[in-house]
Amino acid sequence: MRRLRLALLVLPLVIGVASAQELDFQDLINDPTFEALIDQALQLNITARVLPPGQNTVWNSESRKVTLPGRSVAVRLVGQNIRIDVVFTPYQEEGGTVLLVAQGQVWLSEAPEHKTRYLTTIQSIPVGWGEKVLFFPLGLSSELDEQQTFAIQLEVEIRPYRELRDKTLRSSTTD
Amino acid sequence: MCPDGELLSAFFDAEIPLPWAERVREHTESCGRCRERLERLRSLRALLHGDPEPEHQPAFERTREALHSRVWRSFKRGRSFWRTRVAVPLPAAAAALVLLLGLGLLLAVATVRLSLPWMTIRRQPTGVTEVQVAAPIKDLEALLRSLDSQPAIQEIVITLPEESTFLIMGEPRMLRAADYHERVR
Repeated sequence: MRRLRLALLVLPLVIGVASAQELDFQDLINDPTFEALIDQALQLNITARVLPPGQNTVWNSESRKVTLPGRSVAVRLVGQNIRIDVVFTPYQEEGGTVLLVAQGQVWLSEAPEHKTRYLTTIQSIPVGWGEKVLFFPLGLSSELDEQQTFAIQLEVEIRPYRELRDKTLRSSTTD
Repeated sequence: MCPDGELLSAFFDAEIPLPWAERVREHTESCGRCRERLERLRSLRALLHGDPEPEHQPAFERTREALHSRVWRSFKRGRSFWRTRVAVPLPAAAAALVLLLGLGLLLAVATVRLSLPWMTIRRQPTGVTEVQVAAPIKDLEALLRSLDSQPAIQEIVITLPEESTFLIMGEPRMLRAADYHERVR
């Protein structure tokens, strides 16, 4: 009887531990055990755009990821003749701003010989909360604006996660 | 000249060495007053020797019994832990105090450090960039375990629109959106 009671006490703990291992990062941030994490958490809003000449967006894709300073968020863009990997890493600076580091790699197959070109870069820029940063993995050249080609633009916006979460909670309670 | 009382008493107890003892003896033989004093000393000694020795055994037994019962009573009653006195040398007490203060200071420093952001970049005046990592987490082990179970990098995969051909237009660039829009205008 005593053993049964003990087993009943331990069982929720075991289930809790097992389920915690299955949490994804978003759940981890929302776990009350790690409440202190929320103050540090950042949300990266990433919008990928394809810009034809004339700068009117013909296609875009929006994504959101919650992360911590120093923890990277990778974006992979896969197209017919191209693959682009960009790793964004936000670092919290002392003054409260964020240093956004972008590490880009591009594999491009060029017609007609189907030669593959590889391009790599690492760049950083200090940004404020909500300030939008644009990353052009294929470059940005005004001279080429007239050519019939598409530019790829990644827009990154960083916001404190707590602020966004509190706003969501407020709006859900008023509804 | 007659010897004083102390000298005569010492002579009587044969504590004076030669030749002084001989001279005192010669004097006492010729001096009636000193002979009388010597007689008094002799009769006092005889009186002390003749007195029976007092019986001390019963008093000794009583004292022993009293001490034994007192110790036994305190042993049976038991002494409170908080009333127990411990003798600590002053240097050891001072060292313990300094150690406690040091530990307190370390704890305070650690608490302040834990209140720092998760990961920060500090640029030193010398130009060196220092990356500081601080974890304001109560259960750091559980967090690290959870992070380990996640992929190191969170990945977003986006498929670009079909039938779009891309070309490399130059060096990859990163700039603020405000600067870009200014440039486009």
